[in-house]
Amino acid sequence: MKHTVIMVGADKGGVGKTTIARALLDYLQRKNILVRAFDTENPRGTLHRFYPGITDIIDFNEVADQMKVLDTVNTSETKVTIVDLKAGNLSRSLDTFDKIGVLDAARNGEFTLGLMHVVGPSIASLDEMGEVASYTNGIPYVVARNFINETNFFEWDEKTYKKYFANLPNAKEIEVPKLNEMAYEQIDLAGTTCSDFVANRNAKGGAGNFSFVLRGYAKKWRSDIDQEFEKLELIQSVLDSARETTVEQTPSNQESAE
Amino acid sequence: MQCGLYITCSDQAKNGKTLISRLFADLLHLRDPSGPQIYDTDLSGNSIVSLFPDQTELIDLTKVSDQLKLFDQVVSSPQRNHVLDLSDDMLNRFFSIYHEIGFEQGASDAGLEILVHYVIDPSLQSVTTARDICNSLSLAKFLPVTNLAVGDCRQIAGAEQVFEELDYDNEIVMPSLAPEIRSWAEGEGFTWSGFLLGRHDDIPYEIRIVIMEFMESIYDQVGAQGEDFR
Repeated sequence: MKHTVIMVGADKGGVGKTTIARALLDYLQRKNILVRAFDTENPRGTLHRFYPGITDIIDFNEVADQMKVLDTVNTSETKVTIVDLKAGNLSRSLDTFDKIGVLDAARNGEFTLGLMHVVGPSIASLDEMGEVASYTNGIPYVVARNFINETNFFEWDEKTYKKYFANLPNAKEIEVPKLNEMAYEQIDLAGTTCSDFVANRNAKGGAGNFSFVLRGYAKKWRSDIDQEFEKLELIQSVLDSARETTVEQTPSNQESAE
Repeated sequence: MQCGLYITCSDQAKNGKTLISRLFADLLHLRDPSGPQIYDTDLSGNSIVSLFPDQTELIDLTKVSDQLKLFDQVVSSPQRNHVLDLSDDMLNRFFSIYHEIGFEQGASDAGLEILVHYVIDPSLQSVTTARDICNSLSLAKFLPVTNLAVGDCRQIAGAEQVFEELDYDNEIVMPSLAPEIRSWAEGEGFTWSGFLLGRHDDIPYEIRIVIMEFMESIYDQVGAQGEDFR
């Protein structure tokens, strides 16, 4: 199985990057895919708080930390890497990747590099898409519209809407659905994964005492965002590769081959 | 005996929902002296909360905090009966939340039965809404209620056919009460349980006979569901 690196990022802060990285990790883990994560929010590490066992906090501006991620893609036991880029790091990281040949390596099929660009409903956030577009040729590029705070993306203003969303021929769009505020806050407070919250398990794996209603809302949200992820070829290829690897590794298949 | 959530609802107002809720609340009180927990979504304070102020929580379903008060409390107290008097304006919102949070499964996992008593108004729209709700349920029991005081929907063109499409457990038909009888039954201080326990002997004998027949009629129909209130 070829390694897949998915970078989740945005230059603008507060658009929900870590929420989406968490949702993606949650989804992949439920699909029994071994995944590792890097949290570039150095030194605090929000993603690390929810996934301490599989997340390293790194400074992506440091060469040593870039090596931790990129030089290990072909040797890591996990086949999927999620990088949660902190605000302001998206363009800079892509620029660095371009200069050191990472983007070309991905284009040449040495590994799969996907970019999940999280945008909020502000012109500053949407302008980033134009800036990032020059790097995304040949790279799976996903624009994640974050509706988590029940907003809209200038859909009421067709001219503005089209300016940003109708001119992204290579981009795949997903919508991050709204999650009830209390449920969002409760999960955040508990420091659990979404699935643990739904299953009423606390961050230490013990029995939780979470609201049935809020767990219900979280479950529905998880189901909705799962559907969004499943629309993406990038995710489907990860699932397909994982399935192929599983089939190859089953004893009966090995015996048959012998 | 398995406890339950007794929901009384309708798409229309003023058709006897609260009367049904009161009957359940009172009769469940007879079964268990601690009585059921009652929830009232009519925020005016003029509905069932005015009759059972100590046992009733007012629930504003537009607020998540109140949704927690209702659904979390029900699921976490399966050893107790619960009565929900659902106002017509909250019908769609309630069932939307009900399905979104997976309440039916949660209640079932907790060992609680859900009984949806839908008072059908004599209109095609009302029975169609009843059918839609009935079809959306999988683990709950659906019980159509016909209040003869407001009319039988089966007398309306097209409605009888829709009624026949309902997959219900048991129908409850409420006999029509004359206005003077209703004024006693809906009067301040009147409770069905108190009536059964002989605390309303001030009501004229002839009227007590009619009230008793009305109660008997409802009890017999509820008893047909396996409930034993008496």
